[in-house]
Amino acid sequence: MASPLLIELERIVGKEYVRRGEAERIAYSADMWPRNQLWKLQGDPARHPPDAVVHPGTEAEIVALHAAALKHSVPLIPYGAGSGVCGGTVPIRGGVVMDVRRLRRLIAVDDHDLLVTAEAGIIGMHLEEELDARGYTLGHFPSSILCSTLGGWIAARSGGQYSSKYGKIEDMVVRVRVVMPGGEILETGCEDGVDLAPLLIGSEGTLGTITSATLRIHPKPEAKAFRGYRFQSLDSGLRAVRALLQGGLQPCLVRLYDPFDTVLHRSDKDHDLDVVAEAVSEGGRQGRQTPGRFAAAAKRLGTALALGNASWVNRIGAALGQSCLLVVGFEGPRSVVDADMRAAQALLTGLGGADGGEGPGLRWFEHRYHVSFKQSGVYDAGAFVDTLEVAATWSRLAAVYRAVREAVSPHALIMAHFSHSYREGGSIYFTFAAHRRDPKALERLYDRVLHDTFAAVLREGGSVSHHHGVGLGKREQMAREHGAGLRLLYGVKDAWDPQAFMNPGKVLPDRAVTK
Amino acid sequence: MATRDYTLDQPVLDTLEQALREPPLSGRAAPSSVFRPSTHDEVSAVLSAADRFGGRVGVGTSPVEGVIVLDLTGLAAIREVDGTSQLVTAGAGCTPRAIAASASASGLELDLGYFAEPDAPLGDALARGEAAPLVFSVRAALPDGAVFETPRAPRRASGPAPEALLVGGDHRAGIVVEATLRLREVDPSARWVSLPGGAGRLRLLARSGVRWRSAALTAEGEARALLAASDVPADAVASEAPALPTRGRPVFRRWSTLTAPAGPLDLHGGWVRGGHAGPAAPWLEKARAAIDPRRTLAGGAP
Ligand SMILES: Cc1cc2nc3c(=O)[nH]c(=O)nc-3n(C[C@H](O)[C@H](O)[C@H](O)COP(=O)(O)OP(=O)(O)OC[C@H]3O[C@@H](n4cnc5c(N)ncnc54)[C@H](O)[C@@H]3O)c2cc1C
Repeated sequence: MASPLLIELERIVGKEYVRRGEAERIAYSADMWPRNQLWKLQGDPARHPPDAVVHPGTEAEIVALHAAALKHSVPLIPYGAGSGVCGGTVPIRGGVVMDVRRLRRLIAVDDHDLLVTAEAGIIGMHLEEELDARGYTLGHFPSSILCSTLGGWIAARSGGQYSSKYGKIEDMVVRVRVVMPGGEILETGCEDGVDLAPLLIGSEGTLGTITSATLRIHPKPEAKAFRGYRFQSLDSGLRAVRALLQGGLQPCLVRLYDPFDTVLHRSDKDHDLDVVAEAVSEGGRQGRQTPGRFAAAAKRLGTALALGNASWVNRIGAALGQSCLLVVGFEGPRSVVDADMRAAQALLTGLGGADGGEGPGLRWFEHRYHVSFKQSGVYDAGAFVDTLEVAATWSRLAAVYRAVREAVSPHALIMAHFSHSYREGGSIYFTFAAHRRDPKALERLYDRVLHDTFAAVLREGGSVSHHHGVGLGKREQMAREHGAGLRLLYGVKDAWDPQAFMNPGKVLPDRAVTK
Repeated sequence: MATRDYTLDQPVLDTLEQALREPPLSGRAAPSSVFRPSTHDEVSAVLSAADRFGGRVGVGTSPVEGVIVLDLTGLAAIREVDGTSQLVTAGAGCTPRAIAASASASGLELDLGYFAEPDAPLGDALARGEAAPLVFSVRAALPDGAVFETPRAPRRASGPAPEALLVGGDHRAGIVVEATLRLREVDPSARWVSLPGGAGRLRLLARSGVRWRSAALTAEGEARALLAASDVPADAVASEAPALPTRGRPVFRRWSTLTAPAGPLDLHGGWVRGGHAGPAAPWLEKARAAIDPRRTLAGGAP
């Protein structure tokens, strides 16, 4: 990196907030995108290190950093907490990674209009705790709430576990304050007919840096209730979820596990990744004993995976049964929760659901943030594991699910749950895992699985992303998903960031004819 | 070319191209005509001709000097009512009332409260930014005539939402030719209740956590007029004028967009949406200039 820029960076944020050491450059070369792990496995721990990492403490410093990066034609990559799983912060063209976590104040709570304004770098759980102390909730609970920021949520269109009731982050944002690429400050609103917030939400650092946002909040719920139901088949479970949502009930939690996921769904595990991680590690470490009745199954599963026999595991899974677990939850005033739960109970049992009591839901609640950090262990054992969250309308959802299963089953272990449901459709959260001895062959297999999944989703009319964003991992799918409409997004990028220095190479595929 | 209505067929398109090609009429001095396309291909053909030869295309029903006006009322087909997903897909020329009638045949309801003029074309309402919370996806024509549909998937995270340039976009980043709108089940047990106390009471209701389907807060006089024309019981209205700012919008609007208790359908666009508009307009103009560098799109007719 040219030293004039370095001097300028140090002048803007202070010497101690410009980091160029090896540890920082390795740490900030990757987010939680699984491909980083595949590169690591091939002996490449930091394929795309940044030239420098800066930690601004104020919006004014961010403005100045934009000007400096622009002047020196250096990529600038906004960074929240690096929990993204699509490579959104990977500095593929080098440049300066700008970690905004020092902007972490809750600015104001508006008790009259039920709004909160907070800085973008605040960690999700800190924001929720501060609201909780004042008697409110944001209603946004991604599994990564402990390790992701408000700005990252908005930038990547995040979805929380209670999205059926509170919506996704785009439903919550009322205003967003952004340092535009050239350093100007834009605060969105809709008085002139067009609200620009939906263009900035989901822009993943390519159209500017979010510095703060105003969001809707809700009174802290007085009561919560959860319940589990078993359905004979996935189709009957999906029918029930649709009836629940379209019938006007507003559950906060709706989670339907597919048959395989239902089988693997262990009482103490919320995250599919954990199940896979343990299975693989168990397979790799034959000697270790894990207490409990799942240990043997996990070990067998792990061994099968270790043999790269995913299609066999899928078949076994299918043979184990077709029933599906549905977990629903309500929160709000006690009287409303009780009434809604009674209504849901009548509806779901009427549609064939066998009441499994509070247990499954309460266990889910207890472990809801036990996110998996065991990913690298899986990769170290020579396997990959990844998750993909896709979305479709109710009339396409089952077809998308089947097409993906069919495409992927021969190559990788696959399971899914349906965890974000709305009146018009929902999301399917797939987990894949497979094994190859050779790291390069493993990456080829990973590519194939992703390729086949995306092709199946788009062919069946779904979207390749429901809440993880696009980053690097899905950008090639954007042309097919948006068609000629992508030209609107190219237009916005050209207009607002003509030098294309903001997080280059993300979200939009390299320019192609999209007619 | 005369200033009158045309139905688009090949000879007419040829004449349009010819007119655009001719030196005295080329470029900004394009003929003032009103075309009434009945298919998306026809919209596309007009735009592509205008784009190639430097014409300007607007949307409306009356002629405008130097602008080829597209009258979208011919796009009046209701393409699909998807009862499973509670969605209806309708042409820009359909009226919300006609769409609602078609939906009700499937036991579903289009919330007409989102539309200032339920008997005016849907395309006009969307171009003005009305009913944004109901919009699931839109089909639009770009300045060069390419027609596309925004992805039909709920709450996707595949980048920024291009709908933001189309709904409320005055047909200036793309001409909206069709939209898919959210419906909901008809609830025969729904009851209106009167809540004296106006905005304050409504605010309490919003934070109560009680589920409610929709609410209307109106100035008293207007409420009477509206109620007279509807089947809502006459006492179902708050007696105070709204204390909340209406931010330039009509006094009567559905407050079902208030907060989450009204349900995910209504989550987009809340009661205090916007606020400090900030200098958004220049950013919008910049984006439009990049999307339509030749300024083919003239917007909706005044
Ligand atoms: C175990 C695990 C569980 C997860 N569970 C969920 C879940 O339940 N729901 C969900 O939605 N996601 C989930 N994720 C994904 C991830 O947490 C989200 O994508 C989150 O929104 C990223 O936030 P972040 O602050 O870490 O952003 P980062 O990863 O740092 O950045 C993400 C993108 O946003 C951009 N960005 C970040 N901050 C800003 C800013 N201030 N201004 C402009 N651009 C910015 C970056 O450039 C990048 O493109 C999970 C991830 C993990 C690892």
